[in-house]
Amino acid sequence: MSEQRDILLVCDTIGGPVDGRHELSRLGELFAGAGHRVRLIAVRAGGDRPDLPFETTVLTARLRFGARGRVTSRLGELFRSARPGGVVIATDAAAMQWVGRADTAGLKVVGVHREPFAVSDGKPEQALVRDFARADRFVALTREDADRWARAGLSNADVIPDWFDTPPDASASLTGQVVLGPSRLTHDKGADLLLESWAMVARRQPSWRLRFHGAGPDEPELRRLATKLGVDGSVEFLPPEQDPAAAFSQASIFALPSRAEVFPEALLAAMGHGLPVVAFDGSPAVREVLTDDVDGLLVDPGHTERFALALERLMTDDGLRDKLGRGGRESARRFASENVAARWDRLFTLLYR
Amino acid sequence: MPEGNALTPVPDVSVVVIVYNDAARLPAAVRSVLDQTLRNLEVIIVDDASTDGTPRVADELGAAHPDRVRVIHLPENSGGCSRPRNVGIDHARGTYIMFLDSDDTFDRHACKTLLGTAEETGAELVAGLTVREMVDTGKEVRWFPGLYQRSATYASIKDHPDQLQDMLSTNKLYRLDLLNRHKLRFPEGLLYEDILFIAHAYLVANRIAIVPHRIYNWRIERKKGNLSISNRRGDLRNISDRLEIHRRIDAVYREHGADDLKLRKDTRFLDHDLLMHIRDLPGQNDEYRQRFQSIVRDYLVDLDPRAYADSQKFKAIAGYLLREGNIAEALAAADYTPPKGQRPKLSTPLVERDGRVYWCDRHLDTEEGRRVLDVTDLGVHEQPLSKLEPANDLTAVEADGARLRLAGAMINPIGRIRPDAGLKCELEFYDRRRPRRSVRVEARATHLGDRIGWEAEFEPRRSLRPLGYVDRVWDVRVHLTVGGEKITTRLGTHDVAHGGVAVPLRPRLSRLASDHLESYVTERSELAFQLVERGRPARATRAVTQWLTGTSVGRRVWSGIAGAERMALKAAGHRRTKVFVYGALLRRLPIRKRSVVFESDLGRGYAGNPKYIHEELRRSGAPYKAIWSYSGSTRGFPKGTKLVKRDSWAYYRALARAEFWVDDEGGFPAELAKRPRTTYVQTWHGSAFKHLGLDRPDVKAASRGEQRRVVGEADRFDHILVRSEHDVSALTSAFNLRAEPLRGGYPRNDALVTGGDPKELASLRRELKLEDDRRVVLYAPTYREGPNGKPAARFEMPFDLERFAREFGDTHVLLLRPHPQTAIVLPPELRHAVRNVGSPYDITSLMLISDALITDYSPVMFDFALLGRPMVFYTPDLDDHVQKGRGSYLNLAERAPGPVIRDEDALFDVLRDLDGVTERYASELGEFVQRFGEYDSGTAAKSVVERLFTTGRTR
Repeated sequence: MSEQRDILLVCDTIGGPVDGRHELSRLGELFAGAGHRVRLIAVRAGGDRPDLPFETTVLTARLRFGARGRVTSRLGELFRSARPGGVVIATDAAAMQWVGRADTAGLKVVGVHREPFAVSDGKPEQALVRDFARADRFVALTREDADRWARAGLSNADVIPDWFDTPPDASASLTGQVVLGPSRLTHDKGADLLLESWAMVARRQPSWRLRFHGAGPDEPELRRLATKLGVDGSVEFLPPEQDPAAAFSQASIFALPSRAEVFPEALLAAMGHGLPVVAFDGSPAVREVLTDDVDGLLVDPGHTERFALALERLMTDDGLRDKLGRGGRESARRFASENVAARWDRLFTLLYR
Repeated sequence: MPEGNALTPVPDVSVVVIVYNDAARLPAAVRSVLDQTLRNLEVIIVDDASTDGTPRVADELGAAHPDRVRVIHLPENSGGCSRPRNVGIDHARGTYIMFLDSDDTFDRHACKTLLGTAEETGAELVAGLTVREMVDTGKEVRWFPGLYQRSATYASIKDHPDQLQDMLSTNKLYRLDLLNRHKLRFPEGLLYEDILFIAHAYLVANRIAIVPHRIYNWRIERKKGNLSISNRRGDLRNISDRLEIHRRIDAVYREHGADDLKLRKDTRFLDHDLLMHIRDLPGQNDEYRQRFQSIVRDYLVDLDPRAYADSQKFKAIAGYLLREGNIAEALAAADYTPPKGQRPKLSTPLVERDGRVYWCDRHLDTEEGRRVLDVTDLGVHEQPLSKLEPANDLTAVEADGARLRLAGAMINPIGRIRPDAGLKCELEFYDRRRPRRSVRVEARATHLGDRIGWEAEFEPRRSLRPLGYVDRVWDVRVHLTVGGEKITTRLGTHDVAHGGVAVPLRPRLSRLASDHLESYVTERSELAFQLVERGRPARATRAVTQWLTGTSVGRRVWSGIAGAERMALKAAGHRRTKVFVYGALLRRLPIRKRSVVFESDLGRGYAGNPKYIHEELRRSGAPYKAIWSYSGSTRGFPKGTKLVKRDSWAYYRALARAEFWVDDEGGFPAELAKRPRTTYVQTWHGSAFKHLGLDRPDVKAASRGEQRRVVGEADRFDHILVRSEHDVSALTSAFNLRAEPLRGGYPRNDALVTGGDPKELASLRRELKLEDDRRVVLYAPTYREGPNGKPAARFEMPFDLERFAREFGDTHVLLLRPHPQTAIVLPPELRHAVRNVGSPYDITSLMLISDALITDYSPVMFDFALLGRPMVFYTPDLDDHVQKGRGSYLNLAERAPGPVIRDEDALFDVLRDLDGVTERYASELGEFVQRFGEYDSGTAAKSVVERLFTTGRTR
């Protein structure tokens, strides 16, 4: 059993429509599960306050002019109260700015950045590099992103992915002749591309169904597209499933046509259920999880015909579905909470050497 | 865990810092280790018997950190880096070890990153990025950035031999046990100790890991006398030691059965090491050169002969010629492959023998010599003169009172400039910081056979009037005009006597600013001039200004002014500024009635549909003012037509005020909103074959914003020319097009229907020497993508031209038309059977004089089909093309109007029976024309002009 530490998660804002409550609570859950003492420090609160299962401190209701110094020194106080061996984790770029200003003597600082590496005007964002360079370690979600940040100047860049657990008994039918699509119907998730591909296979594979268990702003447009492509007979738009496991267990193939993915939980869930996957090779996170022909089929971004061919290959080959499904279950294990928590523990140990 | 052992903790990493007479920089180096985010490490300073304050400084560092810093003083100086490092290894206690030189530093996270990686991967050797920091300028250059792009782990160096390019020992972490197990030490008494050490370490390491993280800061100071040991190359010991090191590496390779690595090393020796030493030769005397040559020759003889084929062309030539004792031509080869940032120059005239072009006329009696020295692919024999890069060597700079005389000679490659050519020569002096400020001076040029001599004499006091202070440096170049083509060269010289020649000058800010113009030789061995002060008044003001700009306030003011000027100039010329002014100001100017801005292929030439519309407009006599956009060269544009350079101010002004925009690419800058009163006629450039716009995979995969941008550009079109209903449906789906399709076909294809102008075609045939009765076959392939996804610069012929010449030379002539963005070089020996008809030849005329077409996926097929002549589709890479490409609206294999052929034999069989093709494919061809060119009826230009410009004006 590894050492138990004080983990101080720092975020900029908690509450309101765009906070990272989901990610924060999952990160906290991971550390708490590994026996650490987790404390969340939010610099400010906005809108509704989520109920998180660990101690939460909000420093200020609204950030007034001149409050910066007070917030910074308050952060320092909280940091001092941590036991030796503690770790401060800045969970986003704004939090890293605050932590960078505060006194962290005696503790180690980790900066976490979930966003995929992006460039503006051909250059990585200099401010991000400057702020995160002050952390003892910078953590990206994928190896590819970590390497890009390292090339951009973050010589402290490291990688630890998100975690995802599927119940050990989770399984999918693999015989149901159902392809499950993304559950959020937005442009990023690429359901339109999937429909385009579907139109190319549906006629040749009339017994198969494409199913969306979900909702999103693009739904009306997608329904129109399905009609226009003449596939509304084989496409089902169902409301979001209360129990996501049910959706997976009825499917035989999972399609991930996303244009961009930060960290695809749905993909890991599908793999945990033993579902073979067809995905566009468009984001580092997808490449981090999937290996072509081992646990899924990867298709060059935007090539809808090839996506269709890949789908058809899986539809017509039970053996391949079985093989990739098993491969996926195996791969998904890398992202199980115990494995990811162990990676964090190794990082914490490294920090104090 | 090392932490557990509290009494004598084992450090994770030992860092050996070696130092010799470097008291000033040692503390910074050591500090960079003590400040590491990894705390559990030790520093071992090894002082190589320094004679300055170093021993004291080192001892102070040791005393300040007794638990982390140890100091070892060697009893006598070893003269290199090896002994101190070896002593450091012997004293190291860490699990891992790293090396640092006293003038360099580690990145703050270096040790932790490398240690973490070593433990995660189990690698015994971990390497990270070295950054060269130019101390004087603050500039940073990455060392072998290509090797440090992404994290990776390799079981052995044989799985990743590219890594052998990085031969530094300092940017790496080694397991100490690795060094001790294999008795790995640095060779003492030799320079380049790193190379042997690291070659050995790479070879024996169990697992090698690479990280892209910055690890090592290699600090470089330019000042002479301060060069660190291995940076001083002007010494024969450098080359002899390097060769000795290489011999020992060969021995290590042999010992470990890694002979396959030797060829790679030999290739790299030619590509990199040897060249560095050759580049030092121009500054050395003859005796030095002779000795250099004899030392190197012995080694070159032992190189794997295949290395000359594997290494880069001109580097192989340099090595080969050095081996053969031809130093002069070897130096010329080095000139043609200069260090990064410099332009190659051709400082030897080359020779043509038996239809091939060779670097020089010696050594051609062996097969190896001919192979290595063959430079036909360079294309010097057929490139336009302006593309050649001949060396122009200065032979004299003389001052005669107030007059300055300059003379020199430029290489005339393989006699491309004929003795009877009319020569016009000018010298141009220009302000280095504001190159547009320039002065030209007449020069006299004389043809000297393999060189063109020139001479100029003038009085700078009269012709050159610099301002003073702000324009102290003037560069000079020579423009030689031959016929219509211009060759521009800088003046090269290695002669120090060419510097320091001064003539009087009168700057506009009076002679207080400066009073003489003085020549000097730049670091790149080129001639330049600077303003100097010789007379007392100027010297006095110079002293004052120097004092002023030396004070901290003065420096700030001065650099502030200079910076502001730079920024203002940059901002004024920046595209964003122009786009802004277009939107805010130019758009508000009144529309100039009857002005039309034409552009074809983003300004690359006077061609395509816009050209034919323009010509029809002229023929019609309608009072329109045509403005053509060009990028690069103005060649080929009709005289008397107003031209504006793409992206210039005039271009934006013309677009803002035009009544019509006509182009074939949708290439007018996307940021420019078209004025509602301007009519945009999109002529398009060919039938829709490859997927376009929203149908392209990369656009499909793009964000919504990006997709809107793509559609937005096309949203500006008011009319679009189409050849068929296929075009209408493809363009509509690709761009959500709202423009009105003009169903009249393509103006550029009118001639294909009507037969073209017989006089013009006859003259083209004459020009191409096609006046016998051989069949003319046009080969027009499209480009292949290079590694970066852009068209590969060089098109690799997919069939054997020599065989073609042999088998068809008497019956056929092949016209070779590469895609405009790629090039093919034809050796002179094929001249009788093959013609290179790349741009600027007009493709329509070429089609008209051809009896048949061979293509692969080029859209030329859609136009050529109108002629009803045989078409052959030669596609050896069809599967690959379908798989990798972006997809197309047409499946070639299913609906081709001619044979689709995949191998050379079949191609040649078909060429023998072209009439059979016509017969067999008559109905397919008819369908094809109907499907893709139904509206091409020979009157497209006329109908566009009538519809939009003359009678049927809609707006």
